[in-house]
Amino acid sequence: MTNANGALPNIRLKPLKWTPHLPPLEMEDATPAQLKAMQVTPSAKKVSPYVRTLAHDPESYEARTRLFNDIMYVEGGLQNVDRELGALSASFVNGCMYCANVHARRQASLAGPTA
Amino acid sequence: MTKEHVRPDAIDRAAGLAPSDPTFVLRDKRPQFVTGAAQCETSVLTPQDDLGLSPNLRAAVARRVALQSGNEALIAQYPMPSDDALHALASGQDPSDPQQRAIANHADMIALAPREANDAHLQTLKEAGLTIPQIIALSELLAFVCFQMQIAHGISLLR
Repeated sequence: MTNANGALPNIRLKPLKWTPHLPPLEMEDATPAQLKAMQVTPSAKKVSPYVRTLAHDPESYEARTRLFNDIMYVEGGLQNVDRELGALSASFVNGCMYCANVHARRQASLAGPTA
Repeated sequence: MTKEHVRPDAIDRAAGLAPSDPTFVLRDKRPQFVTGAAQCETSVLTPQDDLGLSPNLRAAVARRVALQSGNEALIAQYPMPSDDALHALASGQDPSDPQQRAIANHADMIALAPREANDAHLQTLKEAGLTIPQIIALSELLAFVCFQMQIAHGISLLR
């Protein structure tokens, strides 16, 4: 449906709350290796429950997060908005509504209102 | 932990890329993706701290997942483990060891129908004796092999 200007109306996509099925690592219990790994975070965001859950295995957490950040933010090539669209498609293929929600919201926020 | 990237790597081989292929050269434009994938591979197959999941067990699980791709070049990169006790796990059969059976069922579900994953699957792994760090490590291993399959397929479409 479009308005009189032919623009799409703004659609608000509410965030979903992701709650891990496994207990996240408590910061006070973190080993030096886990603390060091958690200095790297997806999209340079805060140390979330998602980060603390994956940091139970610090080596794989750090490697996968560095690769994720490179894929999403390395200079050149696709614009960030289109990378988020790619991530949204991958979320559909994997069937994860939480990932789909996060990437859809980022894509929408980067794209801005459609003129 | 930098690992020099040796090419052709697992993804090149699984995608059927020869060094003379234009798409092979294209991957050099994104060296971070090549080294990043290599570091992920090390972290899930041969980590410094294996958290009690041996490299042989990890290789067997990776082979089991790779079998689901039907990609012979990818499967060839995960040879059968020499340990007979891992034969069923690595070859897609039903292992007699209860913990291996739980790992095998979980691996098959993640490879074939990841959208079905839920809390109960993780409880099953816990009941089979896996610790929380081991469940995370297993999840990352499964995710990595699925990533390899998907990336290799995607790159093969660019050829």
